[in-house]
Amino acid sequence: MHQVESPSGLTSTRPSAASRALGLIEAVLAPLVYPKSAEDYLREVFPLLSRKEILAEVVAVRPETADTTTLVLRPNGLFRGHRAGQWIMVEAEVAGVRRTRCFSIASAPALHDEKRTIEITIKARPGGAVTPELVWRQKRGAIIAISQAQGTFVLPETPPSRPLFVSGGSGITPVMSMLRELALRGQAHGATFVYYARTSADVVFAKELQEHALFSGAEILVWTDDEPSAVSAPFGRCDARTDLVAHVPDFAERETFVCGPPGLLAAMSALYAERGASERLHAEAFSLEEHATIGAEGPAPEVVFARAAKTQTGSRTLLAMAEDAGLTPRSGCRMGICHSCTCRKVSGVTRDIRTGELSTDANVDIRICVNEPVGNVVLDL
Amino acid sequence: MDHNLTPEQLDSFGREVEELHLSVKADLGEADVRYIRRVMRAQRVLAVLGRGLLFASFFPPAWVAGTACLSLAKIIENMEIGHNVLHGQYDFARAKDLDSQTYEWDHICPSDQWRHSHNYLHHTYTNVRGVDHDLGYRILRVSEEQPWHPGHLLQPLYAAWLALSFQLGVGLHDVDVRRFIFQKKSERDPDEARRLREIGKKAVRQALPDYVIFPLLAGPHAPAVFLGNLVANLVRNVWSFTVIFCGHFPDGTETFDPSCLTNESTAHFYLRQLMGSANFEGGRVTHFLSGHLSHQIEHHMFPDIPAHRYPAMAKRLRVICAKYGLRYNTGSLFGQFKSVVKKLFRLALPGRHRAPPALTAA
Repeated sequence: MHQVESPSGLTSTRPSAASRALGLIEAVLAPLVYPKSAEDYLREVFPLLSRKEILAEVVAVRPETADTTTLVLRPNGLFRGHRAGQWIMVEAEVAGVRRTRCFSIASAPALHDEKRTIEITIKARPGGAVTPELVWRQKRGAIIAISQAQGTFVLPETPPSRPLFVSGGSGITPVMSMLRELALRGQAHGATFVYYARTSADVVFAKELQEHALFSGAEILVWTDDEPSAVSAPFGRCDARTDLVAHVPDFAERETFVCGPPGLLAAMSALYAERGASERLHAEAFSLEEHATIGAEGPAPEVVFARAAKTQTGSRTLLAMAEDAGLTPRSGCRMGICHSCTCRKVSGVTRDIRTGELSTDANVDIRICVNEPVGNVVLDL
Repeated sequence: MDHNLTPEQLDSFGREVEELHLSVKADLGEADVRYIRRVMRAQRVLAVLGRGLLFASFFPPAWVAGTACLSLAKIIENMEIGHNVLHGQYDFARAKDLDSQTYEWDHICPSDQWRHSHNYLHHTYTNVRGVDHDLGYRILRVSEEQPWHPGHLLQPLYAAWLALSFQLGVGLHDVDVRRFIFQKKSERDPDEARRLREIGKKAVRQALPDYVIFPLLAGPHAPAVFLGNLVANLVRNVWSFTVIFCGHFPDGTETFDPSCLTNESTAHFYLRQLMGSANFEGGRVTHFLSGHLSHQIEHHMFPDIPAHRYPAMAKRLRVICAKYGLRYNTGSLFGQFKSVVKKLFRLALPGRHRAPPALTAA
């Protein structure tokens, strides 16, 4: 078996020759355009040009299902490629306002190596501020800012033999990247791909999954809640536990990659723990569920936004409370990843809603999207 | 000008103005961002075009066109883009290039000093004597209530000099230059010294392209390019001077005693901004080139609203003012400027102290 080295290494931090040349041009022009930067002018002609920001052009917009769309992005030279399973932050302009969201890259790293493009597949969240805009109104040719690929939920450099991929809903994207990468490398044989969707009309990549089943040697199992169709096997209502036990009996011996809603993740981790196979389960949550209020006793904590001179009581995330108070703090992923919302806590105790970890120090920076007040808190906002 | 509002009427005036403010604020979005981006693009095109045409100044019409383009580019950058972006009018977009905290404008006054002296001091304490340094820029007497001293006899000359060097005058007006010069080194405020150093550094870097680099690049046409750049800077100064002086100094604009700031209500703040500011009329081009400061009243009441919205807001504000019998100071650009010039001459002479306006905190 031959080993494929991914050329899209993430370790290279050396600036490319093009970037160095650009730096030189800008340095020469800088005194002429002071106090602007030469980039401000050059970007009118070369819209992707930047030495600091990863800008990407939307080169194609491909509808997948009624509420899901794939955006094909061509990032500028600053983008250092990605590994299968990683995600990027996307800064989209919605109604004139820049908003940041995280999306898994659905395409294979090999696609970027070959064509310099990456694909993100987005499902419109009903009532969401950003996703409906990207799904239904994103125009081809637009320029958006993205981040480097991030995340540790990745396909190992040397892929395990017979990997098992389990996903639900829009959680399909990172594992799809893994399946596509294996297929492109000719290593998909023996892999099993389990996907749960609400109805057969919601099955993303339906046609491509069928092709994988036919040609790449991967076993594809798609479960939906409604009538079985060409893309879904006749398995009826889905239940991760019985489904896996019945149809993938050796699941506990296989490296398993799972991404989906919290219910699916919980069922999977319980099942693997029971079989003593937890170390073979690699999971990625793709959404932070609305966090239930902690069973706080006594009065609800009071949060003071010092700079705005506003106060809110309650026990939601500090970001939600700030927004309820009419503030518009910078924020991004809203799940504690991107640090856009980092702000100074002047005093008080806060709890990280993901880990339960308490922050008791005064004058420390916290991410307000994943912290809730435990007592009265003062923020420098 | 006096107002005859009862405290209840003042409150309800304040509420109606706030309603107007919030309704426009809630409507901000894509159109505003598209507008300012288009202006930014046009400004860059004009700047490049102007510099390019000046290189061809062996052909006299090219010199004229180049100087005109460059003047326009400089005016637009300061008035419609820089001043307004620094006010945070486009902060709602959360875009890096429109961020009031990081934007650096093509003006001698460093952005962070400007945010303090202009956004904070001038806009909060507008026309409050002894607090708002824009009230005469420390050298001119623009209100009867300001005490006269013999130096004011020469103020028409100072004003003419200020018009030509307006950037410098505005840039320095947060620094008491006269005091600074005559102070012993040990007595100087280190923060003021730092601010002066920053202004000096920016002034040099700003002057380099206009007066050294571009002329040198033009080789034999160096004098023509130098002159074109000089004229463009003077045009910008005189135009900004005209616009800003017509904003607070025409007849009918009030100045206030610091005592009116004690426990000032929102409604009273709006009223003070209305009484301390003046608009001038004109076509769309005039409004645009003034950075919509032709609507100084709206700008002072709603400094965080993108300025291109002011003409529409003015229509609604005038209705509110009429309802409460409040004066809305506006006139032609020529008329307002004439009244400013007359006032500068009149107040150069020692004048009778008029009674302070009966505007007290409600």
